[in-house]
Amino acid sequence: MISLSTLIFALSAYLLFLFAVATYGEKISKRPKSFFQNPYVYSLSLAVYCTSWTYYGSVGSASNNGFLFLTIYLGPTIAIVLWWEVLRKLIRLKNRFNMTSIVDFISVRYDKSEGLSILATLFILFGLVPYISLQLKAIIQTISILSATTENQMSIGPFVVVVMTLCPILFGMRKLNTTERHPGMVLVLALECLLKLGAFLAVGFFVTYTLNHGIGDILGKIPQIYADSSLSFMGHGSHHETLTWMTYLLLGFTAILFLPRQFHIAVIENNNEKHIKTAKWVLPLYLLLINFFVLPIAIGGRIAGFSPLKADYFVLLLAQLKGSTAFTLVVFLGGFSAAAGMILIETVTISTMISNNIFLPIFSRTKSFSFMTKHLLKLRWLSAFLIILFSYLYMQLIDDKLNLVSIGMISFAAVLQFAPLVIGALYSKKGSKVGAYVGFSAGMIIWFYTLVVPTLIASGFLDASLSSEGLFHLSFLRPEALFGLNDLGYLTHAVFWSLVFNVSGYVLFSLLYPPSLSEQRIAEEFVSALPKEKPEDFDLGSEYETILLEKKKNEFFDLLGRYCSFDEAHKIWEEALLNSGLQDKEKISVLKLAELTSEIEKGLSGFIGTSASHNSIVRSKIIGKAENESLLRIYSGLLTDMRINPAELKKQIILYREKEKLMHKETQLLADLVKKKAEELEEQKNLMFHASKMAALGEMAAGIAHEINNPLSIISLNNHMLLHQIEQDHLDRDNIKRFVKNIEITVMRISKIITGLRTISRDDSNEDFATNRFGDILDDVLALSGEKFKVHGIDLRVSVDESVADLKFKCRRVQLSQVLINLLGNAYDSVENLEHPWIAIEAKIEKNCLVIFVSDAGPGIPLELQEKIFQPFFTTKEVGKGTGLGLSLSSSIIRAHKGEITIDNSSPHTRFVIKIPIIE
Amino acid sequence: MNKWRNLLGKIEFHFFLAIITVLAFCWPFFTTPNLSNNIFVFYFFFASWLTVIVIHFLMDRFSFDENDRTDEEKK
Repeated sequence: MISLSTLIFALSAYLLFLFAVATYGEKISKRPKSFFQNPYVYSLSLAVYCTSWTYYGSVGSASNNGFLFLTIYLGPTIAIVLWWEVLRKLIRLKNRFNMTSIVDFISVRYDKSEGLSILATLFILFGLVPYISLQLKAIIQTISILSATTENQMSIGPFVVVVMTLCPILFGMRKLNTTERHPGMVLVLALECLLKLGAFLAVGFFVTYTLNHGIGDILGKIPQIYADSSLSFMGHGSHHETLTWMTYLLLGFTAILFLPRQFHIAVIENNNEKHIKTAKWVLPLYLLLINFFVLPIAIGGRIAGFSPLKADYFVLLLAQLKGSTAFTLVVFLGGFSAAAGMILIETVTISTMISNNIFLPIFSRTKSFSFMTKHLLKLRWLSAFLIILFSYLYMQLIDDKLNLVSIGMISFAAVLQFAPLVIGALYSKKGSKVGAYVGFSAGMIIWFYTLVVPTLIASGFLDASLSSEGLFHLSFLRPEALFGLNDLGYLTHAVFWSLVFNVSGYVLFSLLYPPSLSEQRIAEEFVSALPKEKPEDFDLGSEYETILLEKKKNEFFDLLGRYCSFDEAHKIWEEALLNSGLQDKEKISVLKLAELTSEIEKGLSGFIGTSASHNSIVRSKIIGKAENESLLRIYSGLLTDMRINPAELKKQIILYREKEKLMHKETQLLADLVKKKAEELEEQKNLMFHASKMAALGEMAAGIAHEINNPLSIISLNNHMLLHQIEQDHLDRDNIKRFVKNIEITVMRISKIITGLRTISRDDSNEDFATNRFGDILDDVLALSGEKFKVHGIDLRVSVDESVADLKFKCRRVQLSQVLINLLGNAYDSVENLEHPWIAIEAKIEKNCLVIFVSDAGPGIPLELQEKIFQPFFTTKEVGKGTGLGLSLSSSIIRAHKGEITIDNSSPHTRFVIKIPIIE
Repeated sequence: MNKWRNLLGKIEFHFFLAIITVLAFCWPFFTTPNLSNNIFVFYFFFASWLTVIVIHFLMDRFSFDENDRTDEEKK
């Protein structure tokens, strides 16, 4: 036995220590590498799931129902497997919408519905007050057990109520902005979780290895202890047991995330989504450890001779057997931590919901109470006190009529009603506000009728005839056998029917009343919350900046001042300005005003929740009638400009999204196709180049024939003269020498022509640039073209200085020759019919560039043709004469040499200018 | 090795694991006779539970999914 004063002193010292930890936590949380960034702190704080129900109640449950207690922890383990997808999505949505609770989440998704948030808040309050009362009961009863004075319960009760009201206020409600995290509170929760685990394991070891001889020894004694009746849930059971087992698994599965406190810690307090990965193994490990000794302790208590009626407190009773006050105190503080942690976080979340979703809408609408909106934090404190007080009164009312587990399961079944709405919000775009209202209300009513009403009947608050005869004496409306289903067990029965009504109502009414356009927009964001890509900003273009920002600032401050201090309002304003890009602006457009209002709404939602924030903004009329009309005009104008009505716009958007998806799928295919086409084009280009070269050679064929034919005639003539002199026997040494010399010169000339032809027909497009002499390139060209011009009486004027001809630079010799032959060929075609035809080639060095001019007697190229002539397949020549590729290819060759080819319009004649940088 | 790391990061694998976990946690109810002193059932629950935890631990340390990486990490 420990005296009451010692217990109170120990409790006070422990709470002071926790307060110091919380204060220290708040202080150091802003450091870059504080504990707050540590995933293990986040993971441990999630173990607030293990309340006094776990610490004391699991043992009580195991004592009567064997392994059934495990389901409450195995269910979460299954749910945690999917956390990387589900919880990550919730965290991203919380960050995007500044959500403060699970009710806020539902409200935001279903059209920021104020009614739905009020309904959900009331339901949570109603569903979880019994759960909080359970924690109060555990604290009060353990104090009574240890101090062995049941008379003191009446005096302990108020003390516990005061302490448990102060804890949430000091640790979690010292400031208003609930979207700001509470590092101090999280640290306290993590510490409490460590303490309760340590204390429980210590008791487990003591019972298993000191009082008994190991787990095998304890479990081996089960048949003796349960001699009269076998312990249920220890193996293959009836279908009733199997269904109960699976129902508990389902409830545990949903509770780990949808219990308000779990949602708060897992989603709202998360500051790094990667911490989920650590929590995925740390939390199940914690659950495993804290449950490992539950069955040994439950059986150990019976072996030690304690009454099964006291099974809920075997942990404490067995700890006392060690005979150490310190050990007992530590075990007591472990149990207190389990209960206090739950009360702390649950009270913070529910009081936030009550103040935001119930008090605020009422006070905002009632003029005589509107001043209360200024005292939101105090309202929250008042809510906390009322929650604890109601829980205490509930505990007094129910007293021992229900055990811990029964109370807990009723709360878990209440939380289950959120599952269809939340899952629908995350994965379906078709869930609507009406569907959510109907489904949730139906589930809530069935939950109340099938679970709460039977407990009220059992407690004597309602007439037992309701249970036996049913509502209005209709037997199919019996609360524990609704519609004649009476073989499932009370919990499975309630869970089954509440889910059937909830899901059916949600699905059916969502189909009957589809989501509005604004709901669809939010639904789209909810469903696609995971991809990282953000939609691009849409610039609406021409706007008129006519609204004075200073005037609007005053209006916004009036609104914000109703809920928060001037400094907080200023902070929201500055952030909104920054996010809207309106710093340093004096006047803004109506579209920017809409954007700014949206940012202010987001900032305010951190203080009063999204639903209340939205409604406050709407009621404030900051966007006045005239501005609303302007907005309407702009949007209507946009629709008019697009020649589309809203329904068509919606269709277009859907179509666009479908197209986007399709395009995304086809991207890879297109990329492959483009690569293949690029290769084909490269091949085609090479073929074209070759074809063009061949065409140019073909055009030169006639000239070449003359070029070679004439020397051959000369050779033949000289040969003939030589033969004639031999036949006449009239050999003149000088004549013979002259004939032979003529033949030699002519052969050299032919050789030169053939060399040029071989050079020009070679393909060097794939070869590296080589150093060439400009004079040599020119010789190649003239050898092939010169004779053609001479035969046709065209005056070819070549004006290249020796220094320019000797210029050596890096280039592709064949390609440059090809360009010059193309230009000369074109020049030939344009002057051949003129009376005084001439073609001129000039070259000079200018600013480290070789500049080549190719001119002819033609009148120049008309301006309208100058751009086209460099395009492939464009030609002014008659059909069959030109390929239309010459200039296009010449242009690409010169570009490959980093140069340019242009037309000199200042010249009275046709004049092409080639400029190539000299690289030696 | 990367194949295994990728597998641990796949959502399909997470769903598969969830189904296997449900089966494991319900298995004794369909198979084991009502033996109240059956120590096998006790260890079966904790062993399967521990297996899930180990897989989660491996996911935390080694899972690799290109889609989960931020743009900065990809750089």
